Amino acid sequence: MSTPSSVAVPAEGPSAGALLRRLRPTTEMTILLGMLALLILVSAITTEGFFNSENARAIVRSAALTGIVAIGLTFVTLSGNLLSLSLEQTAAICGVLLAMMLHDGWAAGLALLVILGVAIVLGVVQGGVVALGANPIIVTLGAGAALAGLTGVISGGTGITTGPTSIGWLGTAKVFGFTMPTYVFIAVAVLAAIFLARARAGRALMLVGSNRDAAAASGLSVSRTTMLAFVLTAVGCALAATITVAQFQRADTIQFEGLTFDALAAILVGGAAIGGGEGSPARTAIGAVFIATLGDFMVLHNYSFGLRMTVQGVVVLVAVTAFHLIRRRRTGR
Amino acid sequence: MSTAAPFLRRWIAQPDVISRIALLAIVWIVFSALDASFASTDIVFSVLQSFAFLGLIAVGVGVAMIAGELDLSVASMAAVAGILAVKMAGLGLVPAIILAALIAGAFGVVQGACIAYLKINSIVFTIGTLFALRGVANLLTHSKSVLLPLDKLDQSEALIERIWIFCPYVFITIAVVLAIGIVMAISRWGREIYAIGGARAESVAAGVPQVRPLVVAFGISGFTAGLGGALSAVVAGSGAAEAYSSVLLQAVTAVLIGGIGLYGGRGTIFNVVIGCLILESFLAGLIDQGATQEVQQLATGGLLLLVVAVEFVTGLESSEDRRQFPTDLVRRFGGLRRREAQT
Repeated sequence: MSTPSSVAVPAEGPSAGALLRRLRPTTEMTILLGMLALLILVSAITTEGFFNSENARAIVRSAALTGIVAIGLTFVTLSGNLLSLSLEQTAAICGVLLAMMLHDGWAAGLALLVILGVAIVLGVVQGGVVALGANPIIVTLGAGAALAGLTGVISGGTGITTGPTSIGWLGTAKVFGFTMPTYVFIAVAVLAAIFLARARAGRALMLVGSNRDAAAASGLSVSRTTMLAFVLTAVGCALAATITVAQFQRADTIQFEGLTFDALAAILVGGAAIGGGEGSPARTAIGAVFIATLGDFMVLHNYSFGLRMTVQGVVVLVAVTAFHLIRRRRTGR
Repeated sequence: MSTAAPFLRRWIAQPDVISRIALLAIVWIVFSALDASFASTDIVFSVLQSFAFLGLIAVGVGVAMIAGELDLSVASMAAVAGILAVKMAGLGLVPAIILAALIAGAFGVVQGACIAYLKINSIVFTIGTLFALRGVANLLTHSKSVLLPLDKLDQSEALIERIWIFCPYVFITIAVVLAIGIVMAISRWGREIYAIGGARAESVAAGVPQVRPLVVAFGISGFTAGLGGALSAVVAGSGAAEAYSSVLLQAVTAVLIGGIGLYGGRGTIFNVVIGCLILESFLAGLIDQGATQEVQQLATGGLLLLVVAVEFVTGLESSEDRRQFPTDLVRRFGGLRRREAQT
C-alpha cells in the first residue's frame, strides 16, 4: 500500500538498521530534492541576483507562511480526507478576529487563546461533517464561502488595524538574519514530523489514512481522527494569520488571497498521496520551498502575474501526474 | 396524453423530484409572505436571467458528478472562454461565442481523456487546471478587463432583451440543457456515463468502455462552462480574469440541492434545473430582503453544508453509492461504519 518509511514503526526503540532504513529517502523524496536542486541550479545560472544569501532569505520567508498552512493541511491529506478548500478563509476570519480584539485593547495572550479556540471549533465542525461521510472538497468549499461571508459581515468589509501590539515580534523579529516566521515554519515541520512518528494520535492518523478498514478494525476511531486532522489544519491557518497580523498590524478579508492555491501546490508538489497514508511534513515543507523558489525565479525574470500563475498551475499538474504514475507502478495497478 | 404519461412518471412523478418542486414552492411562498410584491414577473425574469448562466455551468458540473467525478475547473474555464469570446468579437459575435465554447469543449475532452487514461483522481487534476486556467485568463488579459467593441454592444444587448419573463440568453440555455438532458436520458453515451458513475467496478465487468464516458462528461462540462462564460462576457460587454469566481460554489450547491448524487449515477438533468431554480429563487429572495453580497455568500455556503448534512441524515446517499466516489477511494466509508459501530 504505502512506502516502508511511511508505515507506522514500532514504539520500542528502533535498532540502528531500522533507524537507517527510516532515514533513507523514499523515491518521492529523492525526486523532490532532485527537482529542487535542478530548479536552484537552473535559477542560479540563468538569473542575476538569485544565488545570494539575501535572496535565499527572501525565498525562505515567502515559503514560511505557505509552508505552515500546507503542513497543517498535510494532516488532512495523510488521514485520507483529500484536501481543504477553506484555508484562506479560515486564516482570514482568524486574522480579522485577532485584529479586532487587539484593536479593542485585549491582552495579546487572551486574544491568541480565543483565536486558538475559534480554529479548534472550525476544525471540529468541518471535520465532523466530513466524518459523517460527506466529501471533504464539497464541505470545505461550502465552509469556505460561509466563512468568507461571515468575515465580511464581522469586519464590515474594511481593513482593521491593531495599533502597536506586544506580538509584533512574531512577524518581524530577526535572529541570525532570518525572520521569526521562518523559525516558526521549521518548528512546525519538526513538531509535525515528531507527532506523526511518535504520538499515538499521529500514528493513528497515518494508519487511518493508509488503511481505513484495518484502522477501524483495530479499534481506532476514524471520525475522531478526521476531526483531529481538520483541527490541526485550522490551527495551522490560525498560526499563519497570527504571524501576518503581527507583521502588518492589520487584517482584512482578502489578506490571504492565493494562500489556498500555494498551500495546495506545496502539498501536491510534495507528492503526498491524495488518497491518504503517504506523504510527510518534510516533503510538504520542501514542496513549499520549491513553490517559493519557483515564484522567486519568475519574479526575478519579470514574469507577469498571469504567467506565474499559469506556470505554477502547470507545474502542479505535471507533479501530481508524475507522482501518481510512480505510485501506480509501485502498487502494480 | 398516452405518450406524455410515461414521460411524466419517469421524470417528474419521482419522490425526489416532487420534494424539490415542493421546496421551490416553499421558497416562493416564504419570500412572498415576507414581501407581498416578491411574486412578480420581474422577479421571475431576474431569476431566469441568473439561471441562464448558472444553468449552463451547473449542467456540466452535474454531468461530471453523475459520472462519479468532480470538475472543479468550470469557473476558470468560463472566465477563459469569456475573454476569448470578447477578444474574437471581430469575427462576429455568434462565431466568437461558438468558437470560444468549442475551444472550452475541446479542452474538456483532453481533460477527460487525461483523467481516464491516467486513472487519476479528477479532484486533484481539476484543481491543477482550475489554477492553470485562471493563470491563462490573467495571461490573456494582462490581469485587466478586455472590452467588447462599442459597435457590438447592440447585438450583445439583444441577448438579454426581455420577452415576458424570458430573454434570448435563457432560450439558448434551455435549448442546450434540454439537448444534454436528452443525450443523458436516452443515448448510449448517457447510459455509459450513468453506468460508470453508479457502479464503476461493475461497469468494467460488464464491458462498459471506461474512457469514452469520461471524455464525453468532461467534454460536456467544458463546453457548457465555455458557452456560459462566453455568453455572459458578451452580455456584460467585457471579460475579466477574475470573473465568475463564485459560480463553482453556486453550481455545486444547485446540483446537490437538485438531488444529483455526489457519489455518481443518481439524478437527472431535470434535477439540475430545479436545483438551479431553487438556489436562484432563494438568492433573489435574500436580495429582495436587502441581503448584502457577504450575506448571500454566507447563505450559499451554509446551504451547501446543510444539503450535505441532510443528504446524510435522510440516508439518500447509501453506503453503496458512497463507495463509488472518488474513484481511487473506493471502499472509503462503506462497510467501515458498520464495523466501527460494533467495536
